[in-house]
Amino acid sequence: MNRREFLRLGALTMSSPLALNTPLVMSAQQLPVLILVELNGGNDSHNTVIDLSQLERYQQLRPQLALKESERVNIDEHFALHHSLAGFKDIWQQGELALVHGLGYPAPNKSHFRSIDIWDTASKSDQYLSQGWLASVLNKVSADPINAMTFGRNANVFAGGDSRHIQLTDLKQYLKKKGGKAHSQTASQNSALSHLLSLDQNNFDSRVSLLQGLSKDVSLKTTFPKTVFGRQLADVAKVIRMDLNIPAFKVALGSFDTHRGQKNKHQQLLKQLADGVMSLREELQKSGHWPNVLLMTYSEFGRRAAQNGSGGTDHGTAASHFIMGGRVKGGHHGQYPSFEHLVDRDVVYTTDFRSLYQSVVRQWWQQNDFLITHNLANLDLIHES
Amino acid sequence: MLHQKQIAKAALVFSLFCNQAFALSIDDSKHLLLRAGFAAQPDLMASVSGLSKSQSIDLLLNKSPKKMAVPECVLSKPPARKVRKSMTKEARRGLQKAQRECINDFKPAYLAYLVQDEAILTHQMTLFWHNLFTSSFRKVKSANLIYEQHNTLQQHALGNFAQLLNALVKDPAMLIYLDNVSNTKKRPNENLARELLELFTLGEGNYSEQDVVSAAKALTGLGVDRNTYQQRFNAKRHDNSVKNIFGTLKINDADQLLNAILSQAQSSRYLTERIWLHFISKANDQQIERLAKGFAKDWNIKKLVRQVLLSDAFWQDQGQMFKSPVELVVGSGKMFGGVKITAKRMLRMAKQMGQNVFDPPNVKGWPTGSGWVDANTLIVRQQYSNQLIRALRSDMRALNEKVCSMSFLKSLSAFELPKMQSMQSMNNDICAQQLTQIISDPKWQLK
Repeated sequence: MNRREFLRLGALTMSSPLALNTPLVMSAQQLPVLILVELNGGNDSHNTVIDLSQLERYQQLRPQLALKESERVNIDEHFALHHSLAGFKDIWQQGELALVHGLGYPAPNKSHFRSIDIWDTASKSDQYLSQGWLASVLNKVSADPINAMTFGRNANVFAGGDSRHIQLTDLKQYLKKKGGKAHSQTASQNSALSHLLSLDQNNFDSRVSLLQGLSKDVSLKTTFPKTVFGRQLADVAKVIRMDLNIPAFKVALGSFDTHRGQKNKHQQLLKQLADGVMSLREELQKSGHWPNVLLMTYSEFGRRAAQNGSGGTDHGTAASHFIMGGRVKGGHHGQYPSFEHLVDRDVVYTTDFRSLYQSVVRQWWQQNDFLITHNLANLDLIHES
Repeated sequence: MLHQKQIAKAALVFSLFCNQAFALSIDDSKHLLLRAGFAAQPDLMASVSGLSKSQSIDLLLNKSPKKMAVPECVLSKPPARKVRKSMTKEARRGLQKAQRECINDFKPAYLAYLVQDEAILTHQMTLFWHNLFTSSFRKVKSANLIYEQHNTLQQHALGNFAQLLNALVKDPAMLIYLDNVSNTKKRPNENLARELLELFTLGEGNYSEQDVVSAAKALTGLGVDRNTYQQRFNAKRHDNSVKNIFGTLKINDADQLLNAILSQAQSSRYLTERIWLHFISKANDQQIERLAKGFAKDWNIKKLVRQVLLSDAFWQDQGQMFKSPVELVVGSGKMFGGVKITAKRMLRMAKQMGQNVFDPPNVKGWPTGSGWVDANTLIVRQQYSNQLIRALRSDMRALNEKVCSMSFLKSLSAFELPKMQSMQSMNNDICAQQLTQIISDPKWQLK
C-alpha cells in the first residue's frame, strides 16, 4: 500500500484525529519547494529592471515612460529597479536575489495566448506541446497524493502529465466547500468524463492532506497585504508550513498588459508583487522554511523597446526575471539585451528561458536527468544545501 | 468507370437519405437539444418528435427570439462629454456606481431571458460570438454600450459573418475595449488590430508582425464620438498611406482591411473550425476544410451551423463535451422551470464556475473544452448541483407531475441511466432519489 492509498483508507474509515496528527513519513529534510509567479499579460521588464549603461537610449525610446532617477532604486553600479521594488534591494544585498536577464526564445511570438503556452510547455516557438514543463517531473520529486497547487489562473505548467495538481483561489473557501469524492477508477473511454473523475479524486486527496496539515498550528506570524495576490501568497506560506511535501506552487498577478496609461498601473502591480513576496519571505524565514524555497517570476513576454503613443507599451519579447530564495546564488545571470540592436522594433533575447527551467529542475530537485532539449546552457543558480 | 461513379453517387445519396429522412430517436433528440440549446426540455422534445434530423435542425434554426425585458438603465446613453466634464468628482463616482448596479441588474435579466426564450440556437450562437468578439463591462464601463453590442451579436448570430465582422469592428464597446479610440496616425495602437487577426479571423500564426502593423494603421481614426457614443471616423487621425498586407494586398482603411482578411482562405477555415468545435468535441480537418470552402462563398452562418449539426461527427459525439456554466444554470432553469433558484443566484454560481457574462476573463474569452473545469470550479459545480437538489426536494409535491416520469428522468442526462425499474408513476421519495443520483453524478456536467 502506498501513501496515497493509505491516506484514502484513513479518511474513509475515519481514524482518530490523533492518528492524523502524526506525520506518516517523517522527512529527514524538508522538500525543496518551487513557487512560480506568473506576471500575467506581459510585464514591461524594461521598466522593471533598468540597465543604467543604456540609460540614454532607454530615455530616447520612452520619452514619457522612462523612469526618472527618483523613480529608480540603484542596486549596484549598473542596474536599478523600479521604485515599487525598493524592498528587493535588501534581499539583493543579502545575496538571495538573482536577476536573469534577456529571457526569451528564438522567433518570438507576440500573442499572449500562444506565448504563454510556449513558456508553460517549454516548447520551441513553432512546436505545439500538450504537457506543462513540470507535468512529469513532480512525481519523481514527491510521491505524495498532491504535488502541485495553483492559486488563481492558469495551471498549464502542471497539466497534461502525471502530476496531481489542484487549482483554487482561496484555501479557506476551498476547504469549506467540502468537495471531492474517491472513485474506484478514474479512467474512462470518454476523455471528458476521465477528466472530471480525476479532478474529483484530486480534490478528495488534497482535502485529506490539507485537513491533516491544518491540524498543525500554521497561523501566520507576518501580516500579508490584503490583495488577492497577498492572500494567495499567505495561503502558499501556510501550506508550505504544513510540511505536506508539495513541491510546487503557482500564483499569478496581473494584468500587466499595459497598452495605455501604463505608469500608474505598472507601479501598483509591482508594488503588489514586492509587498506580497516580501511578506512571504519574512514568514518563511521565521518558520525556517526559507532555505528550501525558490521563487521565480515569469511572463509571456516583455514589452516593446519604445513606448507607444498612448502612454503604454505594446507586446514585446525578452525580459529580465527574478529568482529568489534562501539558497539562491544572488547576482546577475545572463546579458541584458541591447537597445541598439532591435529586430522588428524589439530587443533580442540573450538567455533561452528553457535553460533556466532545465537548470532549476536539475539543481533544485537534483533531477540530473531532466532534459527539455539538448544544448541548453546551464545556469548556476543554487548553493548546495 | 462512369458506371462505378454513378453507383457510388447513388449509394451516397441513399445513405444521406437514410441518415436524414428518418425520425430522430429519443437519444438523438436529447443530444441535439443539449448541444444546440441548453437542455432536453420537454416542450422541445415534443416538437422534434417525429421529425428528421434536418427538419428538427431547421425548426431550431428558424425560431426567432422575443425581445428581452431589460432594466430601464441600460437604455440610456452615457452622458455627453460636456456634461461629464462639468460633473464633480462625487457625481462622476456616483455615475460609475450607477453603471455597475445597472450591469448587475442586466446580467441576471439576461439569464432569466435565456431560460424563458425559445430561440435556443440563436442564443447558443450569440454566446459563441460573445466569446469570440469579446468585450467586457470591466473595461467599457457602460451598461448601455455592452447592451448595444449584445443586440448586434444577437441580430447577426445566425446571419452573415461579413456583416457581423464589420459591425463588431466598428462597435463602440469594441473600439473602447481594444483601445482603438487611441489608435491614431501619430500614435498607432495595435491592440484591436492584433486581436482582430489573431482571435477574430485568422488564428495565431496565420499573419505576420508586418500585417499587424498594417492592420493597425488601417484602423487609425476609427473611434467613438464622445458625445453621442456612436462609432465615428476621424479622417484627420487616419493614416491615409497605402499599406501592404498578407504579402501582396494593398489596403487603406478599415473596410479594405476587412475585405483583405475575408479574402484569405484561412479566415473561413479558422471560423469554421471554431464553430465546429462549439458543437463537436473533436476537430475533423477534412470536414472542416470542406465546409470552410462553402462558408467563404457566402458567409452564411445559418447554413454552416446547419451543416455542422448534420455531420455524422456531431451525432456520434454524445456526452463528450463539458457544459459551460451558463449552459448548466440555464439548462437546469429550462428543465425545472419554477424551481426556487433565482436568476441572481444562477448568475453568481455561473460566475464562480468561471463564466461571468459580459465580463470575460480576457480578450480570448472563456475557456472551452476541459479548460472549463478545474479542481476548484468542479467543486462549485457540485455545490450548484447540491443547491438544485435541495430546491427540488423541498418542492417535490408541486413538481411531481412534471419531473417524476421515466421519460423526463431519462432526458436529464446525456448518458444512459443505470437500470431503473420501469413504472408509470413514482412516489416522491423514489423520484427525489433518482433526481439526486442524476444531478450529483459527474456526468451531469457533460453534454
